[in-house]
Amino acid sequence: MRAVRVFGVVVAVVQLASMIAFSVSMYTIFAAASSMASGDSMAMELTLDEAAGVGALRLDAVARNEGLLGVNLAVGVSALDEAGESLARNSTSVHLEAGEVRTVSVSLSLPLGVMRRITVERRGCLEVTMDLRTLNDLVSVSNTMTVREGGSS
Amino acid sequence: MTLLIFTILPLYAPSQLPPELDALISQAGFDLTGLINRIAAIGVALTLLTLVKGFVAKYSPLYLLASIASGATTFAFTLITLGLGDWQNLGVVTVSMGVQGATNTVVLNLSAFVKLATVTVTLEVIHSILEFADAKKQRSEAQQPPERPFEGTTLQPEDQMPPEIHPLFSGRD
Repeated sequence: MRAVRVFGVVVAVVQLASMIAFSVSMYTIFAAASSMASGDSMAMELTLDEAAGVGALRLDAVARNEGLLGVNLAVGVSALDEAGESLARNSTSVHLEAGEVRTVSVSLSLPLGVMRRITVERRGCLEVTMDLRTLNDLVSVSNTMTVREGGSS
Repeated sequence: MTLLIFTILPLYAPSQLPPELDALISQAGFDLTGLINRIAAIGVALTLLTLVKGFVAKYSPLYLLASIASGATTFAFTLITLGLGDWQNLGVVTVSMGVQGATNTVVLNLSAFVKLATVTVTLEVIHSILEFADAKKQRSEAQQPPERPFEGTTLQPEDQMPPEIHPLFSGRD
């Protein structure tokens, strides 16, 4: 009788703990993602250097973790050709404690002709990926934005 | 309470959504009505199972069946909710939408909670079986005839004396 009751309490504790873990991690993921998704927190800059023959794309993002747990944030930029094949990719990742604000920068350099083909002639596209993980990387949200009309967003 | 939380509230909540959010949900191709209907159906099933458990004794096999079915229904609720209406997603949801020449794809991975739900529901079912076995054991013990209090004891010669000559009643020391 006593053993069954103790087991029942253990089951209830496990259920309660999983509900708390779910609530806290969901709150953290959505708080961090929504602060990143606001318009002024991300900026992209395209530089076409004719003299050096290089086209550079730079992404600056202000990452703000307004959640209750720490998050791991990975930001990546890719250039894809018309067939969707990756031409180049660069990414960076940071860990943000609860309440922490950090600036994340990623640059992608391509030969000028390739960059011009993607951004000006619109043959190919750019892909920006933002991956947020929390609760020891058990819960994640990944946002991939594929820009098909030029290099600014 | 179960009916209120799982059926009435989900059916009422969409009417309170702001129109912009409603439009965004439609744009993402997400079947909100389907999800709500599934949750409401699960709510009705859970309410019925709770009623059955309330009216049936704990030692009844029907109680055990209702408890296991209740656990299974809760698991179905978790799968459907975390899969945004589709239990086959197993907690990994992908939503795509086109915005001003760009395609936005969001992948939400909650598969850890599906695994956790599997563990908790398994524990819940084990608990139901143990509870049923315990209730059945208690009932069978209660149904056994009471033991005779003096069975197995040997009567002493003094105890066998008639009350009128017993030292307690005869006035002898």
